[in-house]
Amino acid sequence: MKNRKAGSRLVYLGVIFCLLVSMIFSGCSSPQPVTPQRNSPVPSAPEATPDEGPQYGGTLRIAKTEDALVLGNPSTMFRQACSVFGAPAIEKIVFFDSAGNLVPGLATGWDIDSAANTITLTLREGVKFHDGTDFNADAVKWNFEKYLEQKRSELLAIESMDVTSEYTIVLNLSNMDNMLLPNLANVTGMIISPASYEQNGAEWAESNPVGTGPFKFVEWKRDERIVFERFDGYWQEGKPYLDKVEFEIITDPMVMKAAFQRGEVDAIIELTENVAKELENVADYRITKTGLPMRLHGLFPDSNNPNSAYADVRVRQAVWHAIDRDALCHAVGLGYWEPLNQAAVKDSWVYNPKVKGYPFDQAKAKQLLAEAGFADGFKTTIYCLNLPPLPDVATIYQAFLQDVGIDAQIEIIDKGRFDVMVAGGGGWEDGLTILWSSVVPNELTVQSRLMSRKVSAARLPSVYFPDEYQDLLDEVIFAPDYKTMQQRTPALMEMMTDKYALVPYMYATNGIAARYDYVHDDGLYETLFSQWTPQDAWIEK
Amino acid sequence: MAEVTTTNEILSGNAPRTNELRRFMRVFLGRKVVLVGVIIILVLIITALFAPQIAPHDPIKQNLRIALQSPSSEHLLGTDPLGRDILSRIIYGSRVSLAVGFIAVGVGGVLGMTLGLLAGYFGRIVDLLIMRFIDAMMAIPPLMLALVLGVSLGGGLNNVMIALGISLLPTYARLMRGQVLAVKQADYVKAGKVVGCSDFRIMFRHVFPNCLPPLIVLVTLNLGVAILSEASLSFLGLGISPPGAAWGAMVYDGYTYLMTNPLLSFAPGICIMLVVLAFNIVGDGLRDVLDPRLRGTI
Repeated sequence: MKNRKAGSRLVYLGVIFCLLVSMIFSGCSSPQPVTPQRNSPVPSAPEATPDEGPQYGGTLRIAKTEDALVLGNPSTMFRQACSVFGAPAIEKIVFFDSAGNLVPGLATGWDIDSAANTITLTLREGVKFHDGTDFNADAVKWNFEKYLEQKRSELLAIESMDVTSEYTIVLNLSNMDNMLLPNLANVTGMIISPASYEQNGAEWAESNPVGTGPFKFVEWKRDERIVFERFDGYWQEGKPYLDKVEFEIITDPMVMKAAFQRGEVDAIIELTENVAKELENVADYRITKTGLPMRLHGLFPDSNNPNSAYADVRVRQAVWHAIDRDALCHAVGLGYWEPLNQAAVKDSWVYNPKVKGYPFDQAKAKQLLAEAGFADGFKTTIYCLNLPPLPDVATIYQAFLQDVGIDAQIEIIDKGRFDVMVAGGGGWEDGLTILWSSVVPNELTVQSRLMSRKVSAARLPSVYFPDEYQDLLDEVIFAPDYKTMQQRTPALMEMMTDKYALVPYMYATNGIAARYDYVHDDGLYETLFSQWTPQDAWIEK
Repeated sequence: MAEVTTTNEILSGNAPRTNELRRFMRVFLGRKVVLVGVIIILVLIITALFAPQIAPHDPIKQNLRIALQSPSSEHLLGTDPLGRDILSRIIYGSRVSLAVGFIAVGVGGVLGMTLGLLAGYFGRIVDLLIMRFIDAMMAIPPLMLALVLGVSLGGGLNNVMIALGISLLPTYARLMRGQVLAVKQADYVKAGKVVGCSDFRIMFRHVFPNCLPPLIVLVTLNLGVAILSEASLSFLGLGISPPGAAWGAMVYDGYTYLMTNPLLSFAPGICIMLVVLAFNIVGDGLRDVLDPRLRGTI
């Protein structure tokens, strides 16, 4: 009797197990194509095509995995990614076109006087903030003062400002900073209403964006959604086309992808590479990646420590030679990453084709290690933030370094410790730290922010930056004009890479976005990840 | 049919012990589902012990050219994004699961039982101090406690095992204290005191062994809990450092490939499920045998 009872239990367990397994595998079957649920009303008129031009109405729903930290007070917005959320409401002084050139935004023109160290901005007339106040030179001056109060490195060169007319402002610089104007196309170029800020305070402003943009802020439910609605007083006649823009925060990338495939959102941004790969062959979707790279990733050595193996340039060169960046970009980047031989991508004007770099050559790496006195290799640590896919990348580095005799242990570190090591200036010992930096607006920003003595927003005391290099870097950044900066940059790249191998840069990532093909002219992740065109976006009905 | 104990067996002193063992085996293995659980645990132990001999490939050897391959005769469960053999990583991952299970339960069990024994035996202020401390620990969910301890200790497998052990400690302490409070009223304990035995001797010679049966059941059940918790912590990135293989970490690594390469997550996930299920079934079986209230009903 007991045996029969036990046997039947076994049968039940077996059935439950089979059900579980079948449920799991049925969940893995190819998803059925789903007709997207559009929230815009179905038009009774004949269907329009993109050739007929933009159509009015509808809501553009965009999903992202991470919410904004600050939405409406750009002076405290230290993450470029936050400006994507603010863009519908807050406009910038200038913008980038798809080729990376500056185009007018709230400024219609600019005049750089290298001899006098001034930049004169001519501002757009007839523009109003959402609160009804006028946009003018006083508003711009007030905004820049807020940035300077926060000691934003992007605008530190501004010594004083003169409002010479209602729509003209002169920026007096301590020395010519060629990164200043491009920085006005980023967070530090975002202009908010001084009246609303003064009336409601800084804390209110952080979550209530009041700018001159095509959409007015409606609500922000943290980690849930941000909603904007059409601003009828927008200065570009006939725009915007959409009634609403909504950001949905879906923290899990797989859930975000599923929501997109179900048609619950119209576009998703900052996709992981494998999700993008999965979606790229579906006819209904349009995938774009930023024209300019999003981040440069490198292995930052503790070369400033005289007892470290990395204090020897030959060891840094060996690290660079040891790692097959092409294979790495193919395996983990799935073709979306670009392997680097210097701190710039090939299409960039910063890139110097004369830089020899360090192609993948493990025999050469071993030779360099032997010359440096490490013929038997050495032990080291790779410090890696616990953020996918970085642990995978660290594992690949480890295997390649092992091939040339460098015995690397991977230490996965949490965000708190990472911040202390990197942003807090705590540094690290006997190892390489996987670090990256946003490329906004070009790769020189990376060097400017991480390595310049004069700018130095982030301090990296563990990494060796020779005086000769830092002098040249400052000569480039603070060159009298943009052309001179471009002329001096190749020498900088050569010195950084071929002479000193300061930081073995490995690969550049791009921001990736996907949207349904009925979404047009959104500009999401087409130029920079921090810039898009909500005023031009429209939905085909 | 009742078993008959002969006079000779009684005189030789073997009869009760032999009968008890027979009853244990009859009740414990009488349920086939328990037998299945035992077999799964034995397979786990053998796999963990002989992983280098069983695994078809080096679990950490990368080959980026064969990344994310489907199952084939060369790689029975396919390869991961770094071109490593999934089956070999699962086989080596069993070592981590087993080590975590036994060490975490060992740490939690030894500390918890000792504290419970001291609290139950000495009572008064000792009991008050220990049990309020245990109450405070129980106010924090075990996994949360392990997570906080893991982060504080710095991550890594050893620290995770210690953290998990500490998070399991309160249940052992409370159960042991309850058992001790009951057992210390027994006549043989009082007799020990009368004849002048030391507290240490009474605690560890007479009280402790008589408190063990329910704790053995708890140990078995907690082995599954520890394995599952390690998987959760590895999933959160607090477990074994790359490139080592652990089932929880493998589930996490494969998570973003669920649609394209489901085996990356499901294969280690199913292993976790089976092993935890096996430990729970065996724990239930042991309870059936050792629980005096069930004696005679099974």
